[in-house]
Amino acid sequence: MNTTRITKLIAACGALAMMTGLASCGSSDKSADKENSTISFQTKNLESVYKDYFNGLIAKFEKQNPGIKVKWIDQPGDGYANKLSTDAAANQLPDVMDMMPKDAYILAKSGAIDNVSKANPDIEKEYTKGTWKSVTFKGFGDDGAYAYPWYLTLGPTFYNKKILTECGMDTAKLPDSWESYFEASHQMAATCKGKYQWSAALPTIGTFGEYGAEIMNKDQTKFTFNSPKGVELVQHYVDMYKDGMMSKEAVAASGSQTTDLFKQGSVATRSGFMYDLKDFKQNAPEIYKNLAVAPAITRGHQSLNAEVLAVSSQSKHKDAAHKFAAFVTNNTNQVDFAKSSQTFPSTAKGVDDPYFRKDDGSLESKTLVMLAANIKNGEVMDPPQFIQSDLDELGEQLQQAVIGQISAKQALDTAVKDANDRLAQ
Amino acid sequence: MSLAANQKAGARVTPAHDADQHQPQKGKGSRSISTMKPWSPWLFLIIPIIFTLVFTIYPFLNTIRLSFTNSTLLRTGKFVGLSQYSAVLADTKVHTALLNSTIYALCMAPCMVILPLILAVLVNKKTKIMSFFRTAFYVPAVAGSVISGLIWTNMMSAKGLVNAIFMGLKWIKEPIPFLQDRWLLLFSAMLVTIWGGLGYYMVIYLAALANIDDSLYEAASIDGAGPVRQFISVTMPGCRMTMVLILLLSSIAAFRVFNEVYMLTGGTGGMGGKDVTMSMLIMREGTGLTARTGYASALSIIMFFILGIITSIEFYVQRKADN
Amino acid sequence: MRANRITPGTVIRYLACTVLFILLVGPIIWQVSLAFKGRGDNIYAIPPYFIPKDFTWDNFIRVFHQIPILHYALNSLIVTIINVVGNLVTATLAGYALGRLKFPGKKLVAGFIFGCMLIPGETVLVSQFLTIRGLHLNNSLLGVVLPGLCGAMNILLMMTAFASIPHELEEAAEVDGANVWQRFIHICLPQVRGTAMVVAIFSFVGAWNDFMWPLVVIGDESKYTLTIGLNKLKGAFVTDPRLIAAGAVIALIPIIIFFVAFQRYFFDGVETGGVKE
Repeated sequence: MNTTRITKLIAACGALAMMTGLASCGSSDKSADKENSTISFQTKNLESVYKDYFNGLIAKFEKQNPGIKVKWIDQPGDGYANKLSTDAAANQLPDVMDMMPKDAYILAKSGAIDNVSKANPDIEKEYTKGTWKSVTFKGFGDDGAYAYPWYLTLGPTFYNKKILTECGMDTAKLPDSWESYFEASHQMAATCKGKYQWSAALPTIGTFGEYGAEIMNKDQTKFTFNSPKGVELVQHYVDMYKDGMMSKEAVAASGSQTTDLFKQGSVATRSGFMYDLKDFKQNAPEIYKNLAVAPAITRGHQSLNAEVLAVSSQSKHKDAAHKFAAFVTNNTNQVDFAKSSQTFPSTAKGVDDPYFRKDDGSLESKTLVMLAANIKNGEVMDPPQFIQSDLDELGEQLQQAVIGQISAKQALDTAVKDANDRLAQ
Repeated sequence: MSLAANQKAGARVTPAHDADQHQPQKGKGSRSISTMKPWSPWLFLIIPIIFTLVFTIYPFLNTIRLSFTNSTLLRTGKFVGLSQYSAVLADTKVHTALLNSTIYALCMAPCMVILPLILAVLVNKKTKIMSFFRTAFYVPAVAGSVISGLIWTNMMSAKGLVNAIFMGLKWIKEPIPFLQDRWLLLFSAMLVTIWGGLGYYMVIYLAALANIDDSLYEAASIDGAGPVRQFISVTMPGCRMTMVLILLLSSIAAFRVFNEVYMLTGGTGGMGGKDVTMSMLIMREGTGLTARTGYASALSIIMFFILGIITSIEFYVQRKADN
Repeated sequence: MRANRITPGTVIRYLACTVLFILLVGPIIWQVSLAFKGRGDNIYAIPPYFIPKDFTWDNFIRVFHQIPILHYALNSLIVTIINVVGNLVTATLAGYALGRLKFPGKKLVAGFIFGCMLIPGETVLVSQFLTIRGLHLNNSLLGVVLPGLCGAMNILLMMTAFASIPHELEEAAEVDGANVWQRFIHICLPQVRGTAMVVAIFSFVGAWNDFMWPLVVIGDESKYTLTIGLNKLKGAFVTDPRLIAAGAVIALIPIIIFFVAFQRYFFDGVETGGVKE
């Protein structure tokens, strides 16, 4: 009797295993038509707002390329790199995926993404020099680009005119250099200390480039931003904090929180992004009403943030995947996307589009034209070799330096040393 | 008289105690075996054991293996002996994380043992209004950490509700930097843990309270014991086993704290990375594109041993108390 | 029957309960207020105000418009129900064997299962994912559910519950010739209904709120659970606190309804589940 019970149990287990097996078969690829190649296309947190654009884009591609079907997946921005890494470890990357140049660097290093220069030798001239450089890596087998440059985000410096006026500053003469920028902060401390702050954001790695400090040596073998120039930049922020022109809350804030602080109306400036305008208009109408927009403070070259598209080296339909990635990032489609998303195209001819020159007097179009002019000689200053751990550590070191726990020099020395150690690994 | 009643209550609601005392006299063990096939217990246990093997033991053994290699997530590493362990122990971030997790466990354990018990005693009445409160107090536990993290980040931010109320009442002039200061943030995260945990542990205590005979309270009452005295001399001894259980569960959970600190710091380690906890460090080192799986595995094994030590200490203390 | 007299003790009890109510439920109610505040409301006002001046359903409409939140809720429900049933089965089976039966190797099994409580879940995340992938269950709801079906904590709760049933009950049945399965089903199971309810609620809440694991397992949007879906609300470009509050409220509604609907059985179960002589 007990034997039969055990037999039954084994049978039940077997049935369960079969069911689970069937379930997994049922849930896997449903493309019945074997003639078609279906490629998957993964974007980062774009579906909720740009659904129509992508559905239209895919329909257009499928019409032009009968036999290729595109399955679009959108992933949340949080944990996106984690998702890429688990998929890469499992050899399950989507055929075409959206990522930052940093992610492309790591994936190219481990051979998970395909060389673009080899697959599409002539495509380089399509994109601006600065963005192409950010996806071109050496020493991973074949030198060359490993991703297609896609949309760029960048922004102006925003000023809250109400605060400037209240603190006796001239809103007609906004800072146009790093020197006048930090001088203005110091001036404001004299009149408005304790009431308002000047800025809510610490420098990022790109800021060092915009300040004119060399981030990496020419061979890209060592980080060098702990130079006197880099220390000088950090010291300005230390002084700003001492002046009471940056709050403790701001020092601790992460990216999106720094926007919130500006929106709450106690911070005078923000070096932000084009898409902030929409956010201000929607969520902080008071701020929007008092907004002044001025060019980003740089020493000639603005730092650009790039999103790029990479093709999985494990893709079963590499040709189709490259074709689609090139299609999404071609001039027409990038310009279309830019028009609906407050981002900028990374194509060489992208910002020549009349859309980027038409100033109809609104704050939006004025900002757009101002920023578009900076694309061509802009650079992706954040080096792809400066990985997420390096970014996190730089942020933590800067926080400790600004609140006075360590010196600016110590903070940068630690950040550079650890980043160089990781680079050598 | 109340003392005698206590001992009786203690014996009834502490199963281990009970079993130890009665088994030798009644010879229960031998009789059970006589009516049970030797493999019967294993039929009960086969499914749980399979699940545990596949989804916990195997990955855990894999973690041990990885801790002796220099693997990254995208690269199978080579055997490197104990060098990952020495790297972990030399890392100043690990020291910070160990400190934070230890403080968290030390502060949380007493709170979670005492506060939910008081809460349970407060609402342990069969009236409509008390059943309403009981339900309401459990709601934060139901909300879950993703949602409570969002809620409390809103509440504790410089312009959030908590600071707005304090400033509105003119108690403070400057917002309290709950989410910026290293220690305040840890303290705020503890409040969120308590917020979500009170109801959870309250329910475990309610189950234990139901086992305490009302006559014990009546006896204590006749002896002239007030509510506080009753709590100390009847409720606490009656819930002793549950208190030990909760001490163990809450201190382990607190040492492993992740969600609350993660949500309040917005995924970073707080100001200067000084609020990082052990789980956050494991997460940071072990996931993502640049994951160092070997290093993270060594870190996990070290954490595993620390949790083992916490557990042993608590078992030791309990056994001492029993004798 | 005791007379209903108002004593200082009663007053203190109610006062304490009211304060606790404000502290524990207030933050959630505040989110409700935030979710109904329109663009005309200053959500950072000092002193803060509760009643929206620019009352609007717009935030909820925007949430429904931006993500298929009901579909995600359905996925969460499927995962949650399987999780609850699975945990009830594994926890009662193992709890009974460990709590009441005597057999060689018991201590070993107990150590083996409860030892797992000490293993941080975050550690085995990637290994677990590779296991699930080996079973070809990644990107399926079954893959989300499987590793959570046998919670050691639940087994511990059930073991404690089974262990506290008086021996006399089972011994009587034993004398009548009931075998171990009959004693398990007819004598012991009814005694632990309260704890089983606790296990059910704990599993429900745990599965409904799980975040990290589904994020790793699920790649396909149509299989998103609610927590991942909510996370999507924090759009890449635009963050709106009202929208997040509205999403939180929508996510809270089903679980609060579930809990309020079952709370009577839950708390009754907690009390009658214990042994009263």
